[in-house]
Amino acid sequence: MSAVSAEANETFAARIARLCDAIAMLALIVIAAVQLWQVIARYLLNQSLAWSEPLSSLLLSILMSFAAASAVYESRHFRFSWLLDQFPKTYRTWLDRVINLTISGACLAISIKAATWAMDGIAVKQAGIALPVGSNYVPLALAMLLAFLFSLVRLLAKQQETGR
Amino acid sequence: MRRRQLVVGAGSALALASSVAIAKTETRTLTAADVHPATYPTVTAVAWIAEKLQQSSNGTLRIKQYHSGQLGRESDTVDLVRLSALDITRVFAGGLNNAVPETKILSLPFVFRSVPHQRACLDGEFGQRILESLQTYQLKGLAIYDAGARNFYAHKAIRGPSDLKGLKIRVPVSDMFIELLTELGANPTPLAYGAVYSALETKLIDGAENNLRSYHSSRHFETAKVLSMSAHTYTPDLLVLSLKTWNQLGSEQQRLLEDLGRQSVAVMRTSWDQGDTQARNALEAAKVQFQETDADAFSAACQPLLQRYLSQSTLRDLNQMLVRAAQ
Repeated sequence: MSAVSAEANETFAARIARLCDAIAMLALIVIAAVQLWQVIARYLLNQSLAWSEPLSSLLLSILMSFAAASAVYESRHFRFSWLLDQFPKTYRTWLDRVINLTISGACLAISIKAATWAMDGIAVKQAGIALPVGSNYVPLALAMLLAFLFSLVRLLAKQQETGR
Repeated sequence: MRRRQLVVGAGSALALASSVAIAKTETRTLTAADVHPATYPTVTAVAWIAEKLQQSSNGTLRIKQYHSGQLGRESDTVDLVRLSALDITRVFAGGLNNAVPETKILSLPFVFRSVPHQRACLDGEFGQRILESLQTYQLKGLAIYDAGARNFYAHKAIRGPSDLKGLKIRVPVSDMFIELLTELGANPTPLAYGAVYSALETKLIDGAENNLRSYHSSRHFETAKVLSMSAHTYTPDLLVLSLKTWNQLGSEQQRLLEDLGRQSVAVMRTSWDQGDTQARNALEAAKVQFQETDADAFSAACQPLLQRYLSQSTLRDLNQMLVRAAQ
Protein backbone atom coordinates (compact mmCIF):
# COMPACT_ATOMS: atom_id res chain seq x y z
CA MET A 1 0.00 0.00 0.00
CA SER A 2 1.36 3.45 -0.86
CA ALA A 3 2.07 6.10 1.77
CA VAL A 4 -0.62 8.36 0.26
CA SER A 5 -3.42 5.78 0.54
CA ALA A 6 -2.35 4.86 4.11
CA GLU A 7 -2.61 8.54 5.04
CA ALA A 8 -6.01 8.78 3.35
CA ASN A 9 -7.18 5.77 5.38
CA GLU A 10 -5.83 7.37 8.54
CA THR A 11 -7.70 10.64 7.85
CA PHE A 12 -10.94 8.82 7.08
CA ALA A 13 -10.57 6.66 10.22
CA ALA A 14 -9.88 9.79 12.28
CA ARG A 15 -13.16 11.30 11.06
CA ILE A 16 -15.10 8.14 11.90
CA ALA A 17 -13.43 8.02 15.34
CA ARG A 18 -14.54 11.61 16.02
CA LEU A 19 -18.06 10.60 14.94
CA CYS A 20 -17.90 7.74 17.49
CA ASP A 21 -16.92 10.28 20.18
CA ALA A 22 -19.85 12.50 19.17
CA ILE A 23 -22.31 9.57 19.27
CA ALA A 24 -21.04 8.51 22.72
CA MET A 25 -21.29 12.07 24.07
CA LEU A 26 -24.77 12.52 22.61
CA ALA A 27 -25.86 9.24 24.24
CA LEU A 28 -24.54 10.50 27.61
CA ILE A 29 -26.48 13.76 27.28
CA VAL A 30 -29.69 11.93 26.32
CA ILE A 31 -29.28 9.52 29.29
CA ALA A 32 -29.07 12.52 31.63
CA ALA A 33 -32.14 14.09 29.98
CA VAL A 34 -34.15 10.82 30.19
CA GLN A 35 -33.27 10.38 33.87
CA LEU A 36 -34.23 13.98 34.62
CA TRP A 37 -37.54 13.55 32.80
CA GLN A 38 -38.13 10.31 34.71
CA VAL A 39 -37.76 12.13 38.05
CA ILE A 40 -40.06 14.94 36.92
CA ALA A 41 -42.67 12.50 35.59
CA ARG A 42 -42.54 10.29 38.69
CA TYR A 43 -42.56 12.93 41.41
CA LEU A 44 -44.17 16.01 39.87
CA LEU A 45 -46.56 14.53 37.32
CA ASN A 46 -47.18 11.27 39.23
CA GLN A 47 -46.79 9.38 35.94
CA SER A 48 -44.11 6.67 36.02
CA LEU A 49 -42.47 6.03 32.67
CA ALA A 50 -42.20 2.46 31.47
CA TRP A 51 -39.78 3.32 28.65
CA SER A 52 -37.16 5.30 30.55
CA GLU A 53 -35.21 2.33 31.96
CA PRO A 54 -34.98 0.24 28.76
CA LEU A 55 -34.10 3.40 26.78
CA SER A 56 -31.37 4.35 29.28
CA SER A 57 -30.01 0.82 29.08
CA LEU A 58 -29.83 1.05 25.26
CA LEU A 59 -28.19 4.50 25.45
CA LEU A 60 -25.62 3.18 27.93
CA SER A 61 -24.81 0.40 25.48
CA ILE A 62 -24.38 3.03 22.70
CA LEU A 63 -22.17 5.17 24.96
CA MET A 64 -19.87 2.34 26.04
CA SER A 65 -19.62 0.63 22.65
CA PHE A 66 -18.77 3.74 20.62
CA ALA A 67 -16.43 5.09 23.30
CA ALA A 68 -14.63 1.72 23.21
CA ALA A 69 -14.34 1.92 19.41
CA SER A 70 -12.84 5.40 19.70
CA ALA A 71 -10.44 4.11 22.38
CA VAL A 72 -9.21 1.46 19.93
CA TYR A 73 -8.53 4.18 17.37
CA GLU A 74 -6.60 6.19 19.97
CA SER A 75 -4.72 2.99 20.99
CA ARG A 76 -5.97 3.37 24.55
CA HIS A 77 -6.95 -0.28 24.86
CA PHE A 78 -5.00 -2.96 26.77
CA ARG A 79 -1.50 -2.80 25.32
CA PHE A 80 0.58 -4.65 27.91
CA SER A 81 3.07 -1.78 27.58
CA TRP A 82 5.07 -2.86 30.67
CA LEU A 83 5.57 -6.28 29.08
CA LEU A 84 6.54 -4.71 25.75
CA ASP A 85 9.15 -2.54 27.44
CA GLN A 86 10.95 -5.63 28.73
CA PHE A 87 11.84 -6.71 25.18
CA PRO A 88 14.46 -5.34 22.79
CA LYS A 89 13.16 -2.97 20.12
CA THR A 90 13.15 -5.61 17.32
CA TYR A 91 10.87 -7.92 19.31
CA ARG A 92 8.79 -5.01 20.56
CA THR A 93 7.67 -4.10 17.03
CA TRP A 94 6.78 -7.68 16.33
CA LEU A 95 4.91 -8.07 19.63
CA ASP A 96 3.05 -4.81 19.05
CA ARG A 97 1.74 -6.29 15.79
CA VAL A 98 0.59 -9.40 17.64
CA ILE A 99 -1.27 -7.23 20.16
CA ASN A 100 -2.90 -5.25 17.34
CA LEU A 101 -3.92 -8.44 15.59
CA THR A 102 -5.34 -9.84 18.85
CA ILE A 103 -7.40 -6.65 19.31
CA SER A 104 -8.60 -6.89 15.68
CA GLY A 105 -9.62 -10.52 16.15
CA ALA A 106 -11.40 -9.84 19.44
CA CYS A 107 -13.31 -6.86 18.00
CA LEU A 108 -14.39 -8.82 14.93
CA ALA A 109 -15.48 -11.80 17.04
CA ILE A 110 -17.51 -9.55 19.40
CA SER A 111 -19.07 -7.76 16.43
CA ILE A 112 -20.15 -11.02 14.77
CA LYS A 113 -21.52 -12.44 18.04
CA ALA A 114 -23.40 -9.22 18.86
CA ALA A 115 -24.88 -9.13 15.34
CA THR A 116 -26.06 -12.74 15.80
CA TRP A 117 -27.73 -11.81 19.11
CA ALA A 118 -29.28 -8.70 17.55
CA MET A 119 -30.82 -10.77 14.73
CA ASP A 120 -31.93 -13.41 17.23
CA GLY A 121 -33.97 -10.91 19.25
CA ILE A 122 -35.22 -8.79 16.37
CA ALA A 123 -38.78 -10.17 16.46
CA VAL A 124 -39.28 -9.93 20.24
CA LYS A 125 -40.59 -6.66 21.65
CA GLN A 126 -39.00 -5.33 24.82
CA ALA A 127 -41.28 -4.79 27.80
CA GLY A 128 -42.07 -1.12 28.35
CA ILE A 129 -40.75 0.24 25.05
CA ALA A 130 -41.59 -0.30 21.37
CA LEU A 131 -38.15 -1.62 20.48
CA PRO A 132 -37.03 -5.19 19.81
CA VAL A 133 -34.89 -7.01 22.38
CA GLY A 134 -32.24 -7.41 19.68
CA SER A 135 -31.76 -3.61 19.43
CA ASN A 136 -29.68 -3.71 22.63
CA TYR A 137 -26.92 -5.55 20.75
CA VAL A 138 -26.90 -3.37 17.61
CA PRO A 139 -24.58 -0.64 19.05
CA LEU A 140 -22.06 -3.29 20.16
CA ALA A 141 -22.12 -4.99 16.73
CA LEU A 142 -21.60 -1.70 14.84
CA ALA A 143 -19.04 -0.20 17.21
CA MET A 144 -16.93 -3.34 17.36
CA LEU A 145 -16.95 -3.54 13.57
CA LEU A 146 -15.58 0.02 13.52
CA ALA A 147 -13.04 -0.90 16.22
CA PHE A 148 -11.93 -3.83 14.02
CA LEU A 149 -11.41 -1.46 11.08
CA PHE A 150 -9.58 1.06 13.30
CA SER A 151 -7.17 -1.60 14.54
CA LEU A 152 -6.49 -2.66 10.94
CA VAL A 153 -5.77 0.94 9.95
CA ARG A 154 -3.38 1.21 12.92
CA LEU A 155 -1.67 -2.01 11.88
CA LEU A 156 -1.22 -0.81 8.27
CA ALA A 157 0.03 2.57 9.42
CA LYS A 158 2.67 0.93 11.65
CA GLN A 159 3.72 -1.37 8.82
CA GLN A 160 4.12 1.70 6.62
CA GLU A 161 6.26 3.38 9.31
CA THR A 162 8.59 0.41 9.68
CA GLY A 163 8.80 0.03 5.88
CA ARG A 164 9.93 3.64 5.39
CA MET B 1 18.41 -48.07 34.52
CA ARG B 2 17.64 -44.76 36.17
CA ARG B 3 16.99 -43.22 32.78
CA ARG B 4 14.61 -46.03 31.92
CA GLN B 5 12.76 -45.58 35.22
CA LEU B 6 12.50 -41.88 34.51
CA VAL B 7 10.97 -42.52 31.07
CA VAL B 8 8.52 -45.08 32.48
CA GLY B 9 7.62 -42.73 35.34
CA ALA B 10 7.03 -39.82 33.00
CA GLY B 11 4.94 -42.02 30.71
CA SER B 12 2.79 -43.21 33.64
CA ALA B 13 2.31 -39.65 34.87
CA LEU B 14 1.26 -38.58 31.37
CA ALA B 15 -1.19 -41.49 31.12
CA LEU B 16 -2.65 -40.66 34.55
CA ALA B 17 -3.00 -36.98 33.65
CA SER B 18 -4.76 -37.79 30.39
CA SER B 19 -7.12 -40.26 32.10
CA VAL B 20 -8.01 -37.54 34.66
CA ALA B 21 -8.61 -35.14 31.77
CA ILE B 22 -10.89 -37.65 30.04
CA ALA B 23 -12.79 -38.26 33.29
CA LYS B 24 -13.18 -34.50 33.69
CA THR B 25 -14.64 -34.08 30.23
CA GLU B 26 -17.20 -36.80 31.00
CA THR B 27 -18.44 -34.91 34.04
CA ARG B 28 -20.69 -31.99 33.24
CA THR B 29 -21.70 -29.29 35.70
CA LEU B 30 -24.78 -27.27 34.81
CA THR B 31 -25.07 -23.78 36.27
CA ALA B 32 -28.42 -22.66 37.67
CA ALA B 33 -29.52 -19.18 38.76
CA ASP B 34 -32.36 -17.72 40.81
CA VAL B 35 -32.99 -14.26 42.27
CA HIS B 36 -34.59 -15.74 45.40
CA PRO B 37 -32.66 -16.62 48.59
CA ALA B 38 -31.38 -20.14 49.41
CA THR B 39 -34.41 -21.11 51.51
CA TYR B 40 -37.01 -20.08 48.89
CA PRO B 41 -39.00 -23.11 47.59
CA THR B 42 -37.92 -22.74 43.96
CA VAL B 43 -34.27 -22.69 45.07
CA THR B 44 -34.68 -25.72 47.36
CA ALA B 45 -36.50 -27.56 44.53
CA VAL B 46 -33.53 -27.03 42.19
CA ALA B 47 -31.18 -28.09 45.03
CA TRP B 48 -33.25 -31.29 45.25
CA ILE B 49 -32.87 -31.83 41.47
CA ALA B 50 -29.10 -31.28 41.84
CA GLU B 51 -28.84 -33.89 44.60
CA LYS B 52 -30.90 -36.51 42.76
CA LEU B 53 -29.16 -35.80 39.48
CA GLN B 54 -25.74 -36.37 40.99
CA GLN B 55 -26.90 -39.64 42.56
CA SER B 56 -28.69 -40.98 39.49
CA SER B 57 -25.94 -40.03 37.04
CA ASN B 58 -23.13 -41.35 39.28
CA GLY B 59 -21.76 -37.86 39.53
CA THR B 60 -21.40 -37.31 35.79
CA LEU B 61 -24.11 -34.64 35.68
CA ARG B 62 -24.17 -31.99 38.40
CA ILE B 63 -25.82 -28.64 39.07
CA LYS B 64 -24.11 -25.66 40.67
CA GLN B 65 -26.60 -23.15 42.02
CA TYR B 66 -26.24 -19.37 42.19
CA HIS B 67 -29.18 -18.06 44.24
CA SER B 68 -30.06 -14.61 45.64
CA GLY B 69 -29.51 -12.88 42.30
CA GLN B 70 -25.75 -13.54 42.25
CA LEU B 71 -25.82 -13.72 38.45
CA GLY B 72 -28.05 -10.69 37.91
CA ARG B 73 -31.69 -9.89 37.28
CA GLU B 74 -34.16 -12.41 35.83
CA SER B 75 -34.13 -10.67 32.44
CA ASP B 76 -30.33 -11.03 32.40
CA THR B 77 -30.32 -14.69 33.39
CA VAL B 78 -32.92 -15.57 30.73
CA ASP B 79 -30.68 -13.97 28.09
CA LEU B 80 -27.68 -15.85 29.48
CA VAL B 81 -29.60 -19.12 29.27
CA ARG B 82 -30.69 -18.43 25.70
CA LEU B 83 -27.09 -17.71 24.75
CA SER B 84 -26.01 -20.85 26.64
CA ALA B 85 -23.70 -18.87 28.95
CA LEU B 86 -25.83 -20.22 31.80
CA ASP B 87 -27.67 -23.55 31.74
CA ILE B 88 -30.71 -23.22 34.00
CA THR B 89 -32.73 -20.37 35.45
CA ARG B 90 -35.98 -19.92 37.28
CA VAL B 91 -37.94 -17.08 35.78
CA PHE B 92 -41.23 -15.32 36.50
CA ALA B 93 -43.57 -16.29 33.64
CA GLY B 94 -44.56 -12.63 33.11
CA GLY B 95 -41.01 -11.89 31.96
CA LEU B 96 -41.44 -14.17 28.95
CA ASN B 97 -44.80 -12.80 27.79
CA ASN B 98 -43.45 -10.88 24.81
CA ALA B 99 -41.12 -13.64 23.66
CA VAL B 100 -43.48 -16.59 24.09
CA PRO B 101 -47.12 -15.53 23.52
CA GLU B 102 -48.52 -18.71 25.15
CA THR B 103 -47.11 -17.61 28.54
CA LYS B 104 -49.45 -14.58 28.52
CA ILE B 105 -52.27 -16.82 29.68
CA LEU B 106 -50.34 -17.44 32.93
CA SER B 107 -50.25 -13.71 33.71
CA LEU B 108 -53.82 -12.80 32.78
CA PRO B 109 -55.96 -11.74 35.76
CA PHE B 110 -58.68 -14.02 37.14
CA VAL B 111 -58.12 -16.92 34.71
CA PHE B 112 -57.13 -19.27 37.55
CA ARG B 113 -59.87 -19.69 40.16
CA SER B 114 -57.76 -21.01 43.03
CA VAL B 115 -54.48 -22.75 43.84
CA PRO B 116 -56.00 -26.29 43.40
CA HIS B 117 -57.48 -25.20 40.03
CA GLN B 118 -54.13 -23.82 38.92
CA ARG B 119 -52.21 -26.91 40.06
CA ALA B 120 -54.62 -29.24 38.25
CA CYS B 121 -54.19 -27.24 35.03
CA LEU B 122 -50.40 -26.96 35.24
CA ASP B 123 -50.05 -30.70 35.87
CA GLY B 124 -52.06 -31.62 32.79
CA GLU B 125 -52.10 -30.98 29.05
CA PHE B 126 -52.27 -27.21 29.63
CA GLY B 127 -48.95 -27.18 31.49
CA GLN B 128 -47.32 -29.45 28.91
CA ARG B 129 -48.36 -27.09 26.12
CA ILE B 130 -46.83 -24.12 27.95
CA LEU B 131 -43.55 -26.00 28.50
CA GLU B 132 -43.38 -27.03 24.84
CA SER B 133 -44.05 -23.46 23.66
CA LEU B 134 -40.79 -22.29 25.29
CA GLN B 135 -38.75 -24.07 22.61
CA THR B 136 -39.56 -21.28 20.15
CA TYR B 137 -37.39 -19.04 22.37
CA GLN B 138 -34.48 -21.53 22.56
CA LEU B 139 -35.55 -22.66 26.03
CA LYS B 140 -36.37 -26.14 27.27
CA GLY B 141 -39.12 -25.99 29.89
CA LEU B 142 -38.35 -28.29 32.82
CA ALA B 143 -41.07 -27.36 35.31
CA ILE B 144 -43.78 -24.88 36.16
CA TYR B 145 -43.67 -23.86 39.80
CA ASP B 146 -46.99 -22.37 40.90
CA ALA B 147 -46.34 -19.38 43.12
CA GLY B 148 -49.70 -18.73 44.75
CA ALA B 149 -51.93 -15.70 44.34
CA ARG B 150 -50.48 -12.25 43.88
CA ASN B 151 -51.82 -9.54 46.18
CA PHE B 152 -51.27 -5.80 46.53
CA TYR B 153 -49.29 -4.41 49.43
CA ALA B 154 -48.82 -0.78 50.29
CA HIS B 155 -48.73 1.73 53.10
CA LYS B 156 -52.53 1.83 53.00
CA ALA B 157 -55.39 -0.65 52.45
CA ILE B 158 -56.47 -1.37 48.86
CA ARG B 159 -60.05 -2.68 49.02
CA GLY B 160 -60.93 -2.19 45.36
CA PRO B 161 -59.67 -0.57 42.12
CA SER B 162 -60.75 2.88 43.36
CA ASP B 163 -58.11 2.69 46.12
CA LEU B 164 -55.40 2.16 43.50
CA LYS B 165 -56.12 5.46 41.70
CA GLY B 166 -52.91 7.47 41.36
CA LEU B 167 -50.82 5.08 43.46
CA LYS B 168 -47.35 4.25 42.16
CA ILE B 169 -47.38 0.47 42.22
CA ARG B 170 -44.30 -1.55 41.32
CA VAL B 171 -44.89 -4.11 38.59
CA PRO B 172 -42.51 -6.67 37.10
CA VAL B 173 -40.91 -5.60 33.82
CA SER B 174 -43.79 -6.98 31.72
CA ASP B 175 -46.17 -5.24 29.32
CA MET B 176 -49.08 -7.32 30.60
CA PHE B 177 -48.60 -6.11 34.20
CA ILE B 178 -48.14 -2.50 33.05
CA GLU B 179 -51.44 -2.75 31.12
CA LEU B 180 -53.19 -4.47 34.02
CA LEU B 181 -52.27 -1.79 36.56
CA THR B 182 -53.12 0.97 34.09
CA GLU B 183 -56.53 -0.67 33.60
CA LEU B 184 -57.01 -0.72 37.36
CA GLY B 185 -56.29 3.03 37.56
CA ALA B 186 -52.87 2.80 39.22
CA ASN B 187 -49.60 4.30 38.08
CA PRO B 188 -47.55 1.19 37.15
CA THR B 189 -43.84 1.52 37.89
CA PRO B 190 -41.72 -1.27 36.36
CA LEU B 191 -38.82 -2.16 38.63
CA ALA B 192 -36.55 -5.16 39.06
CA TYR B 193 -37.48 -7.33 42.08
CA GLY B 194 -34.22 -6.53 43.88
CA ALA B 195 -34.90 -2.79 43.73
CA VAL B 196 -38.34 -2.91 45.38
CA TYR B 197 -37.31 -2.76 49.05
CA SER B 198 -35.36 0.49 48.75
CA ALA B 199 -38.03 1.91 46.41
CA LEU B 200 -40.68 1.29 49.09
CA GLU B 201 -38.47 2.71 51.80
CA THR B 202 -37.62 5.88 49.87
CA LYS B 203 -41.28 6.28 48.76
CA LEU B 204 -40.27 5.99 45.13
CA ILE B 205 -43.30 3.71 44.96
CA ASP B 206 -46.42 3.53 47.14
CA GLY B 207 -46.78 -0.23 46.95
CA ALA B 208 -46.22 -3.38 44.96
CA GLU B 209 -47.90 -6.67 44.21
CA ASN B 210 -46.54 -10.17 44.70
CA ASN B 211 -47.31 -13.50 46.34
CA LEU B 212 -47.28 -13.92 50.11
CA ARG B 213 -43.98 -15.83 50.20
CA SER B 214 -42.07 -13.17 48.26
CA TYR B 215 -43.68 -10.41 50.34
CA HIS B 216 -42.27 -12.16 53.40
CA SER B 217 -38.88 -13.41 52.16
CA SER B 218 -38.00 -10.03 50.57
CA ARG B 219 -38.90 -8.30 53.87
CA HIS B 220 -41.12 -5.86 51.94
CA PHE B 221 -43.59 -6.13 54.84
CA GLU B 222 -41.20 -4.02 56.93
CA THR B 223 -41.98 -0.98 54.80
CA ALA B 224 -45.46 -1.76 53.39
CA LYS B 225 -47.57 -2.97 56.29
CA VAL B 226 -50.94 -3.57 54.61
CA LEU B 227 -51.44 -6.71 52.53
CA SER B 228 -54.65 -6.49 50.48
CA MET B 229 -55.74 -10.00 49.48
CA SER B 230 -56.80 -9.23 45.90
CA ALA B 231 -55.56 -12.53 44.34
CA HIS B 232 -55.66 -10.76 40.97
CA THR B 233 -53.27 -13.17 39.23
CA TYR B 234 -51.64 -16.53 39.92
CA THR B 235 -48.62 -16.03 37.64
CA PRO B 236 -46.28 -19.01 38.21
CA ASP B 237 -42.54 -19.39 37.76
CA LEU B 238 -40.87 -21.41 35.01
CA LEU B 239 -37.74 -23.50 35.36
CA VAL B 240 -35.97 -23.35 32.02
CA LEU B 241 -32.86 -24.93 30.54
CA SER B 242 -30.86 -23.68 27.59
CA LEU B 243 -32.06 -25.53 24.48
CA LYS B 244 -28.44 -25.63 23.28
CA THR B 245 -27.39 -27.36 26.51
CA TRP B 246 -30.36 -29.71 26.21
CA ASN B 247 -29.31 -30.73 22.71
CA GLN B 248 -25.76 -31.43 23.92
CA LEU B 249 -26.96 -33.91 26.55
CA GLY B 250 -27.29 -37.61 25.86
CA SER B 251 -30.78 -39.14 25.63
CA GLU B 252 -30.41 -40.79 29.07
CA GLN B 253 -29.31 -37.48 30.64
CA GLN B 254 -32.23 -35.71 28.95
CA ARG B 255 -34.72 -38.25 30.28
CA LEU B 256 -33.23 -37.98 33.78
CA LEU B 257 -33.37 -34.19 33.80
CA GLU B 258 -36.91 -34.13 32.41
CA ASP B 259 -38.14 -36.63 35.02
CA LEU B 260 -36.46 -34.83 37.90
CA GLY B 261 -37.84 -31.49 36.69
CA ARG B 262 -41.35 -32.94 36.72
CA GLN B 263 -40.86 -34.56 40.15
CA SER B 264 -39.41 -31.38 41.63
CA VAL B 265 -42.82 -29.70 41.29
CA ALA B 266 -44.15 -31.83 44.20
CA VAL B 267 -41.02 -31.05 46.25
CA MET B 268 -41.47 -27.35 45.58
CA ARG B 269 -45.17 -27.45 46.46
CA THR B 270 -44.56 -29.22 49.79
CA SER B 271 -41.95 -26.63 50.69
CA TRP B 272 -44.23 -23.84 49.43
CA ASP B 273 -47.25 -24.95 51.44
CA GLN B 274 -45.22 -25.36 54.63
CA GLY B 275 -43.50 -22.04 54.13
CA ASP B 276 -46.77 -20.31 53.29
CA THR B 277 -48.14 -21.04 56.75
CA GLN B 278 -44.87 -20.01 58.39
CA ALA B 279 -44.77 -16.80 56.33
CA ARG B 280 -48.36 -15.96 57.27
CA ASN B 281 -47.58 -16.51 60.98
CA ALA B 282 -44.45 -14.39 60.71
CA LEU B 283 -46.38 -11.60 58.98
CA GLU B 284 -49.06 -11.69 61.67
CA ALA B 285 -46.35 -11.51 64.34
CA ALA B 286 -44.90 -8.50 62.51
CA LYS B 287 -48.32 -6.81 62.81
CA VAL B 288 -49.04 -6.84 59.08
CA GLN B 289 -52.66 -5.91 58.36
CA PHE B 290 -54.42 -8.51 56.16
CA GLN B 291 -57.09 -6.63 54.23
CA GLU B 292 -60.06 -8.31 52.49
CA THR B 293 -60.87 -6.90 49.05
CA ASP B 294 -63.83 -6.55 46.69
CA ALA B 295 -63.01 -9.41 44.27
CA ASP B 296 -65.98 -8.64 42.01
CA ALA B 297 -64.89 -5.02 41.58
CA PHE B 298 -61.35 -6.09 40.68
CA SER B 299 -62.64 -8.75 38.29
CA ALA B 300 -65.01 -6.30 36.57
CA ALA B 301 -62.22 -3.74 36.14
CA CYS B 302 -60.03 -6.38 34.46
CA GLN B 303 -62.66 -7.44 31.89
CA PRO B 304 -61.60 -5.05 29.08
CA LEU B 305 -58.02 -6.32 29.35
CA LEU B 306 -59.17 -9.93 29.43
CA GLN B 307 -61.37 -9.47 26.36
CA ARG B 308 -58.54 -7.81 24.49
CA TYR B 309 -56.12 -10.66 25.14
CA LEU B 310 -58.61 -13.51 24.83
CA SER B 311 -59.51 -12.34 21.33
CA GLN B 312 -56.16 -13.90 20.29
CA SER B 313 -56.83 -17.47 19.17
CA THR B 314 -53.89 -19.09 21.01
CA LEU B 315 -54.87 -17.54 24.31
CA ARG B 316 -58.57 -18.26 23.72
CA ASP B 317 -57.80 -21.97 23.21
CA LEU B 318 -55.65 -22.12 26.32
CA ASN B 319 -58.30 -20.30 28.33
CA GLN B 320 -60.89 -22.86 27.18
CA MET B 321 -58.70 -25.54 28.77
CA LEU B 322 -58.72 -23.60 32.04
CA VAL B 323 -62.49 -23.13 31.90
CA ARG B 324 -63.03 -26.86 31.24
CA ALA B 325 -60.75 -27.77 34.18
CA ALA B 326 -62.76 -25.52 36.48
CA GLN B 327 -66.07 -27.21 35.62
